[in-house]
Order: sequence, then structure tokens, then C-alpha cells
Amino acid sequence: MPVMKRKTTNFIIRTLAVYVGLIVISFLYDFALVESGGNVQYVKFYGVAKWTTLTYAWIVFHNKVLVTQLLLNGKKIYYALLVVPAIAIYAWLFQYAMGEVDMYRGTITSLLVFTIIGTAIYLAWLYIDERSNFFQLSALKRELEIQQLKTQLNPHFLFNSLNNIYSYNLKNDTYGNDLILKLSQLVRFIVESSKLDAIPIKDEISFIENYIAFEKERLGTRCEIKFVKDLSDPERRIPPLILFPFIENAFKHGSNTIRNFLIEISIDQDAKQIRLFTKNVIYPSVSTSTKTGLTNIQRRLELLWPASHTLDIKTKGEYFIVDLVIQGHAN
Amino acid sequence: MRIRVMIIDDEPRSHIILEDYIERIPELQLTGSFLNAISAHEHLKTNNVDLIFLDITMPEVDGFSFLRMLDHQPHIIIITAHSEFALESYEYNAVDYLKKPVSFERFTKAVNKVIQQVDHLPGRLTTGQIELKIDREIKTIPFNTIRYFQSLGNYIKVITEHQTYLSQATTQDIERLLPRELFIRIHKSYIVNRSKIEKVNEDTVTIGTIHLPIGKTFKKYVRDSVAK
Repeated sequence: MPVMKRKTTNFIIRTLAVYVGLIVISFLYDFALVESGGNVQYVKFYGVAKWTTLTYAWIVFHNKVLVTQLLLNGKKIYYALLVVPAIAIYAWLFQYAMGEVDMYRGTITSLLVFTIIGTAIYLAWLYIDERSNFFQLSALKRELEIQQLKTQLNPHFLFNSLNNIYSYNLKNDTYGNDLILKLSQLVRFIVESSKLDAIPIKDEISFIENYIAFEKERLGTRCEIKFVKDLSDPERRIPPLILFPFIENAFKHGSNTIRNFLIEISIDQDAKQIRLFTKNVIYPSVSTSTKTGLTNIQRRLELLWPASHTLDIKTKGEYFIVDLVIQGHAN
Repeated sequence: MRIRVMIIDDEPRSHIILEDYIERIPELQLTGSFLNAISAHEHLKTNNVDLIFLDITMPEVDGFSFLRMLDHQPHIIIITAHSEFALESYEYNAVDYLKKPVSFERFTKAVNKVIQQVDHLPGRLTTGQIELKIDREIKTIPFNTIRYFQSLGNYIKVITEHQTYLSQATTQDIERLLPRELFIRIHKSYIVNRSKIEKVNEDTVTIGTIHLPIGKTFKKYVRDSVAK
């Protein structure tokens, strides 16, 4: 999981930087107070380092465990019940570690002050992070809306589909009527879903099925399509057009040949996750930019589920394979 | 003379429409339908085609690449779902540019342009021979019997081994019809069969007992291309 790994590394680096910074500031502050004497200074410095470490460890624990897991996670009562005993126990251990047994009240006060400051900084940082994520998401969404109208259902796809329908009607074949209904559903999905944040997964699937029906008409017998789906909860909501770009990409690149070819697609949903798998043959001499078509959807996935999706895109011999897993259906 | 046509389009359903339209126009005669440019190119090696209905976006070899592969380009009508290739199609002298889905009326209009152009020509080419309009009749003359063409104002004289024909055509019309590897223009009024040339002098080309003049502006061209 590259996204998660990056997040963890960022967190460790940030924590270390703040910690080192605090130690340096404490030392500089103490330099001004302590006048002279080698041994005394050493003892003093050791004490300052210990104090800073213990205070900082508490702030990190409070922010990462108590605030993140309880307070911000809808467990406010647990937080209220736990924070007081936690600070009391920690203060007692703190003064014991510092060897200043009679300073319990002072230790509690200083811990409280630093906890308030630390939490304020942490919450402010979380807020800023969320805002910037939110703006990026809404900008992307706007981009997507425009794209959907412009390229997702691109005019060539539309005109080719109309041409195929026309070919049936010209021969008085009533299958043309079925195709007209399918095309109406396709267009309606694009027009209506682009306004929504989430849609039932079954809607996205039937959109994909309609799309495949038209690709079949366009490509004729040289194209074989294996489409498998298994939905445990068809009503479960997901953001629109999360799966479709991978299908479109498979057809775009998989069909660029005069030989017969196969495109494999499977969509599986269970209580824990959604999994999309596509496999198509790739023709290196013709298509050079297979992955560029997917950059937009990759960015969208990262913003929507930074830690709960995995996307594996690879070229294996003459095959191009996409394996996407979205965990917990977060929406 | 029916116009020999072929279809090149990677979408099978497009063939159904075009074949239906072609059948309705008696002047057209379908010689083949192809789903890609490569098999179409093979077909052209052994068949004579006057008009191609050509799609642009196709796998592996697109329509324009296909046109660049051709030595002798027949009339081209482009039929595509895209509108952005219209400008480029002019560079390939396409007769018309049709956007899918195409109505029969629009299709007919494009085909009529080709019919008019073909009617203006004095004849047409088939493998190893030329079909020429002579006295309102079509005469088939094999290339290997032709010695040379001589222009006489609005008429052109075809001098073969045993006969002479007169057809209403200009030197340009005939030159455009003939394959360059077999015939060469040596003068404003003369086109000769390369294989009949016995001798090339500074100012004349000798075929049997006849000496034909080389035009001033054609001297360098004749020297360079006959020497090969």
C-alpha cells in the first residue's frame, strides 16, 4: 500500500522534527539561565531533555490516541472519562521519573498547559489538511463533470453508436429499438450521475453493461468479451464513474489490433470490499500512453480513499492488467 | 462503365449501411468490403478499383496511412464519425467527407461527384490494359500493343502495333490515366510506351522506323528516367 506507507513515513519525520526542535529550544532557554559549572550544566541538560521527551510523548499520545481515536471518532464520552485519569496517572509517573516527588501539582499544571497548546496545534493542522483535501476534491469533481460531458461519453462514441443503431433500423431489424433504449440509459446516467456524490453500485454496473453492448456492436466478431460480476449488496452507494474509466481504457487499448482479441472484466463485491479486475492485450507498437488515460481516476481514488484502496496497474508480457480493491466501501 | 468501389471500415455495422446504399445506385459495382487497411491493400494488388469508401480511425493502419501506401490513388470518399480530419482529407484530394451516420441523399451527392469526374475521363485502367472511349464505344487496348500516343488538338491518336485509334481526350487526361512505370511523356504532344523505345538521342526517341521529338522542357526528365 504505497499511500499508507507514505503517510506513515511523513508522520514519523514530522514527529521527529518537532521533537528535535523542542529539545533545541529548551537547551537554548536553559543556557540563558545556567551561569557556569561543567557538571552542573550536564545534569541540568539531562533533566531538560528528559522533561521535554516526557512532555512531548504525552502530547503525541493525547493527540494520536485520545483525540484521534476517541474524541474525533464519535466517542466523546469515552474521551471525557479517560482523559482525567490518564493525565493524573501520567503526571504521577512523570514526577517520579524526574525525581521530584513533591512537585505533583506543578507537573499537572504544566502538563495541562502543554496539552492544550499541543491539541490546539494538532486540530488546526488537521483542519487545514482537510480543507485543502476538500478543495482538491471539489476541483476534481468539477473537472470530472466537464470531462464526462466532453470526453467520457465522447461524441465519436455517440455518433458511432447512432450509426450502429441506424444500420439496424435501415434493415428493419427491431434490435435497433433495444439499442436506442440502451443509449438513452447511457446518456441519462452521464447527465444525472455527474451531479451526485454517490450512486448505487448496481447503477454503475448497468452503465458499464450498456457501454459494453455498444462496444460489441462497434467491434463485431473480432472482439470476445468476458464480463463477470458478483454483487453482495447492489444498493451500496459509491461515487459515480469510479469503475468505468478502467473499462473504457481496456477497450480503447485492447481493440487496437486487426487480429481477434479478448477483453476480461470482473467486478466482485462482498461485505468487506469491491474488487475490479481488467485484462486486455496491449500492442506496444501502436499504443504508447496506456497509463496516461488513467491519471485522473488515480488522483480521484487517492483523494477519496487515501488509505483504503489499492490499485495495481501492470504490463505482463503482452497483457495489460488492472487490479483495483476498495476496502470497506467507504463513501 | 460501372464504377468499381470498395469499402474500408473497421466497424462491421457500417458495411451493412454502405453495402445497402451501393446496391441502390446502379452505376456502382462493389468489389470488396474490408475491416482493416492491410487486407484492403492486398485486395488492391490484384483488383482494379475506381472509388474507395474509407474510414479514418482504424486499428494498426489508419485511413491516411493507407492512402500514403498507395502508388496509384483511386477516387476517395471519406466516411467517419470524426469531424476533425476534414482539413487533412483535402491534402489527400478526397472527393468528399461524410460524417456518420450518413443519409442516402448525402451519400448520393458524394457519389455523383465521382460519377461526373469519371464521365469526363476518356477511359479507365484495368490490369494490363486501358479502356478508351472511341466513337462512343469502349475499346480495350492492351498496354503491350501500344507504341505511343500523339495529341491532335482535342483528340488523341493511339498508335498500336497494327492499328491507329482516335479518342476525344487531351494529353493530360491520358497521362493521368496511364501508369508511370510503363509510359513516359516526352513532349507536349507525345506519350510513349517505355518498352517500345529502341534508342534515345539528344533530341529524339526512336520506335521502329519512327523518330519522335523530345520537348525542350522534357529533355532532362527523359534522360534521367530512361537511363534507369
